[in-house]
Amino acid sequence: MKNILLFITFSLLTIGCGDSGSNTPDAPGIKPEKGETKMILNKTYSVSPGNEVIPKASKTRIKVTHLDSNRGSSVQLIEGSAILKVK
Amino acid sequence: MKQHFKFYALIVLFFIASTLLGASDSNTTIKIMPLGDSITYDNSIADLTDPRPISRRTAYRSHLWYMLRDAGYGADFVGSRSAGWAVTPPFDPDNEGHPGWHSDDIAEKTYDYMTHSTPDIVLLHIGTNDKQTSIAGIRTILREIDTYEEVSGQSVRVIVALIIDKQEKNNIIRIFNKKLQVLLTSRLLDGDNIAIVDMYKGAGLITADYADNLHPNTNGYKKMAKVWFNALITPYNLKLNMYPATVVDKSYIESVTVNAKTNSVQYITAVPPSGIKF
Repeated sequence: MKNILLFITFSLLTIGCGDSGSNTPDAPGIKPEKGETKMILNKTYSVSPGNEVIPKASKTRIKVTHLDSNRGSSVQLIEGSAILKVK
Repeated sequence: MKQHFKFYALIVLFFIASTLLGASDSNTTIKIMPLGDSITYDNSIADLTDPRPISRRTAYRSHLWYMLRDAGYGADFVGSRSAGWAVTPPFDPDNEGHPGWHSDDIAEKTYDYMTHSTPDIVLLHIGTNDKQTSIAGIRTILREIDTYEEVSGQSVRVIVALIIDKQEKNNIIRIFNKKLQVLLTSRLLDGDNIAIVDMYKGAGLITADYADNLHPNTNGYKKMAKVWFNALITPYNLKLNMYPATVVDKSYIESVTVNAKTNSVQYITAVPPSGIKF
């Protein structure tokens, strides 16, 4: 009986302690090198705090995906022209 | 030995109880008000000359109610009107759908509807009859709900739809939705307890999903129900809603979409001349 209970308890604890991060991947995208990178339309870049997007056309739009819990952000140029500045 | 048995039995009972308590959350009955016009009530153009019995009008409401029931959620639809009580399987026919009404008409009565039915959640699909691009009516509806919340101390989650297109694509509705998106995004970024659902593109209605130029048929209403359902089961995440405005001034942000499943927020924004620093 003790063994059965031990087995059930262990199983439940194992299920309860599953890797919560398995469905929450980090932000996707190309990691830009230090300096300035000319952004290509519809290409995804991963960005970190301190990175900057500087517009090079009057109408520049981007799509940003931000993952919560400090998992980062990614950015896509969807209109215009811009550079990505990484320090 | 006896002590150990008691210890392990207690651990097992704890896990079983936790599981059951977790499950009981989904059995909480939530008061949901379907608010809108004929697309909420179910009144087609054919009903003007050869009306179907009111007892059989359901629009998206029955399909949504079945989806919620099947997912284990007890939904109490509320409103001063009733339509669809004779369909099988039965569902809650209460609603606040008013065929032919403009958003201004709904705005005039919104406060009364709130005090009468005290909903936890409002599903708002209005504007098809406005036949103009102004969203002033919806702005007033949301303000009226704000006033009700302030006076009553009750919180209401408002799920606002970018409205479905007509069967023949309509430029007025396209512009109306664009303006509505701006208004709702601004409220979302301010931390308002609202959600935007995209019935315009997101419901995926095609020509065959319409009973006439304005109203969906059963298949179209099922598609709408699915969009409402997905919004209803998505938890509210204030932190993610407000995140984009911490990166760029909200006047530049065009749209915000929170995905509770991946715990992420996606936003489209214009880049100000000074750039955006993450």
